[in-house]
This record gives sequence, structure tokens and C-alpha cells, in this order.
Amino acid sequence: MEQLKSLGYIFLFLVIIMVLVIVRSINPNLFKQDPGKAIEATQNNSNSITWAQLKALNDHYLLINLGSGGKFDSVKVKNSMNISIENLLDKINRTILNESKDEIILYSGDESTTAKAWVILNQLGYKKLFILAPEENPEAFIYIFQPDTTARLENDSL
Amino acid sequence: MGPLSILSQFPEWINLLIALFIGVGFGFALEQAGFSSSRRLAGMFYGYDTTVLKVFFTAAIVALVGSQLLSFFGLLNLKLVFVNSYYMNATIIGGVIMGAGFIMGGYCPGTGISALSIGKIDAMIFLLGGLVGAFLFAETYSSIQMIFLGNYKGEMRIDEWMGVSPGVFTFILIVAAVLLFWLAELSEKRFSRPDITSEI
Amino acid sequence: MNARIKFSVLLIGLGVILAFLPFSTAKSFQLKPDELLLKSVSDSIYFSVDQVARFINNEDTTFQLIDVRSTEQFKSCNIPGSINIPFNDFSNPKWEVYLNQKGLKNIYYGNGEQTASYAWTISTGLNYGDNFIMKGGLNEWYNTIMLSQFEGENITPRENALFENRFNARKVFTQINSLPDNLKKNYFKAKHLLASKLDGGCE
Repeated sequence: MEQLKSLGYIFLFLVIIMVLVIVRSINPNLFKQDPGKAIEATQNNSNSITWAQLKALNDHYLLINLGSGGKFDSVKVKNSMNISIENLLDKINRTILNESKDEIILYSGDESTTAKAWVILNQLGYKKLFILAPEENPEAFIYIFQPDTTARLENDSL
Repeated sequence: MGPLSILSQFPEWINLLIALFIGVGFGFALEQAGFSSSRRLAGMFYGYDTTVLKVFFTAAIVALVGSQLLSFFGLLNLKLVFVNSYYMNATIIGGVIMGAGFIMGGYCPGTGISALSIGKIDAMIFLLGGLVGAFLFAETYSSIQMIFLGNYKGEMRIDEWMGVSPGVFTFILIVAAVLLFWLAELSEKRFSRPDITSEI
Repeated sequence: MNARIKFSVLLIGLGVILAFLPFSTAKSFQLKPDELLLKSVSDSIYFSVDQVARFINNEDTTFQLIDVRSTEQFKSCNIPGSINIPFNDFSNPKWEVYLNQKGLKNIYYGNGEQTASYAWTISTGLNYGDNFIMKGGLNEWYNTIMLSQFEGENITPRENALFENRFNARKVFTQINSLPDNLKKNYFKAKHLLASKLDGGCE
């Protein structure tokens, strides 16, 4: 009897730990992914969707404009909705994102905002997540640096 | 208090005070487990007393399970926990020397200090020998540096090397531990030496 | 049923729970999502190219410029004093010691802002030090620092300071990037040594 009682305490303890683990696992407000996956997804622009690909999706997408203050910024594309970047993780918006079965495509007038939002949502576990590629590649260097071979460091005091 | 993420803002003196208490606790635990007795420690190698295995393996597993659970609940930042660099040559040679010393002297450094604290003279000589060894190492470092630094594997962790998650590795280790404890029991029955007591 | 069996049951039970833990907190972001979002929308994470130019002219060592472009692009030209951590290699543990330095502020830049923003978000999420982005990236740097000229008749003191800042940064950029590769590194090491001697301090 005594032994069963102490074994019972042990099982109770294990059940408590298991419940705590389950509660923490299903907590939606936690980052659970490996950042390496986000880095892999951005390589070769594989998380980008061009306008042509967008048209090919035939309206089976959720296009989100991240303009702040509840206003669209930059181009307002047909079939897009506005979610301000500050309110991205509000319950209503999370529900919209969770319920979407199609590709989720982010865009805004500021490439930095879109990039940050993409990483945050990717690390929260959203799978079909893309960025609408702007017309010109934002990471192309548009200048050419000409080395000045006549530069002599010893003549200038820096 | 180290990498516990909820207690990261303590001033230095509180950290040192906590370290002192932990040290006191550790010494107390060693002494009450009977590790000041060289006969008990040597018994691990002859098979008649496997307390060392059980105590240290249990401590390792409690630490492992505790740190995994705390890390899962976000209370411990495992990235801040120090992982030893693995120099294969140095580890093997050092292990052999230490093992020989352990069975000959009947102490290892930690238990040697614990025995010293209760006034045992052989522990005193043992620790003196240890200090001489450390001194010789430092003096001859330039000649043995190449061997010492050879075969560097970085900060290896077994679970990464095996390719399993830390949780799975913990489970494997726990199963191994339970098996070893059971084997230890058998060994104690098989190799028992009732004439050797751990009275001193 | 003695203590050993009870203890073994407890340990094996915990082991089973641990073996099935769904994710590894050790690798994922340390910050909570709403904390990270709050930091992302703040304007204080950006430095303008003029501010970065001033850090370079003053040889401010509390900042570390991090170029997230590829190695070839870094070699062709880069902002003097910056280190190259290609974003494709960002998850390599060897960069952690550079990214996670206490008291040092990281300023990320790429050609534009996209890659720098990716790097900023990941770095901040992992709670590595203080992170910033250079607004506009290297394209903006080139446009402002290298190419801008003062147009007009009279110059106010403020504009004078601004253009002098840009001109000095332009000089440093051109001269360092025109050096053959092996001399670039040695140059900056020597400059830092000189500056610290003039300081007269202990470090």
C-alpha cells in the first residue's frame, strides 16, 4: 500500500510535467523554429514571388500590405488587404493568417518592413509565406566603384 | 547565478556567495556519501563498492534532465552554458594518468579535498602529489604543447555528434544509467569483500 | 519495491517526456514575438549614412559594421572597417562570437535594406547584442557620400559640417578600397593602434 502510494506520487509528478510541456508546446506566442530554415528560405530569392507568378496564382493567395496606421502604402494591388505592421500579431490578424489555406504574400512600400515581417512570421511557423518582389532587385548594387590608383595614403593625414 | 535567464542581473558578490553555498553543499554531499574513504573509492575498480558510479551518474542525469527541462521552459539559456573544448590526445592521456592515480591513491581531486577536510594524512600527500604534477606540467608545457593541443575537435557535444536531439540523448543516457545501476548491484554481490569496511 | 525502482521509474518517465519534446528552445529565437515586433517597428534601429560616416571619421570603436553581402561583393568594395558575414552563412556558429559581443553595437548593411533587415531580425531575435540597420544600404551610401556635391552660393555652417563629414568619409572609402587586398587589413590595424596610443588610456 505504502509503495503504491509513493509510486502514485511519482506518476502524479510526471503527469504534471507532461501537462506543462504540452501547454508550452501549444503556446502560439512563442518562436519554435530553427533560424537556419529562415536563412535557407531566403537564398536565391526563393521566398520571393514576381508579378508574373502572382498572376499565375489566379487569385488563390492572401496578399497583405503592411502599411502602418491602417493605411495602404505604396501600390494598392487588387485583392489585397491591409494589416499594419504594428498590429501584425494581434489575435484577429493571427486568426486570418492561420485560416488562410493559400499562399500568404507580404508587401509594403519599405523593403525593410516586409523583410522583418517575413522573418517574424516564418519563425512563428507559417509555411507558405512569400514576399512580393519589387520591380528592380533591391539588393543589386547600382553603382560601380572605380579604384583610385593614384591615391597615396602617406600624403594625406586622415 | 550563471545562465539562469530570470536571475541574470545579480551583482558579482551575490554570484560568488551562491557559488560558495553550492560548494558547501557539494562537499557536504560528498562527505555524507562516504567519499572521504579511499577504500570506498577504490572499491569502484575492484567491484565491491559501486557507490561512486551511482552517485556521480545520478548527479549527471539530474543535471541533464534539469537543464533540458529548464531550457524548454525558457528559464535557462543553454547557449550560455560552457562546453569544454575537446582535445582528443590530451583527454586520452590525461584520463589514463588520472585513472592510474585514482586506483593507486584511492582519491580523485575532489574527493581528495573532501578527505583532507576530515584530516586524513594520505589525502594531504595525494593532493601534494597533484600539485607537483600540475607544476611539472606547467614547467614542461613548451615541450608537450604539440601533443597537448593535438587532435582538436572543437566544442563537441555527443548529441550533435550522434545526430539526435538532446531529449533523445537524455533518454538513451537514462536507460544506460538504469542498466548500469542494475549491473553494479550484481557486481557488488559477485565481488563483495566483507573484510573491507569503509569505516575509515 | 524499494527506492531504486521508484527512482528508476521517475527517471525513465522524465526521459520519455524529454525524448518527445517537440522543439529545441536552445536554437530558436530567445525573444517573444511581440517583443521582437515592437523592436522592429521602432525608428531607432536605423542609422543614416551620414551618421555611419561620422562613426568612421571618428573611428568610433563601439560600433561594428557588418556587411551581409557575398564575399566577392565585399572584396570589390566595402565600407572601411566593416567585417563580412555573408547572409547565406549567417547560421554558422563561428560568427556568433562576432555578433554577440557585449557593449558592441552591430550595424548591418547590404546593397539595399532587405538582406540587412533579415540579418537584423534574426540577430535581434537570438538576443545578440545591440543591432541596427544602415538606412538605404550601400546604394544610399554611394549616392549620398560619394556622389553628392554642394550646389549653391553660400554655405551655412551646418551644411559645411555635413559636407565635410561626407568628404572625409569619401576619402577614406576611396583610399582604403583602392589598396591592394593585403594592405587593407594592415592599414586599419595600424590606425587603431595609433589612435589608442594618442588616447593615452590603459586599454
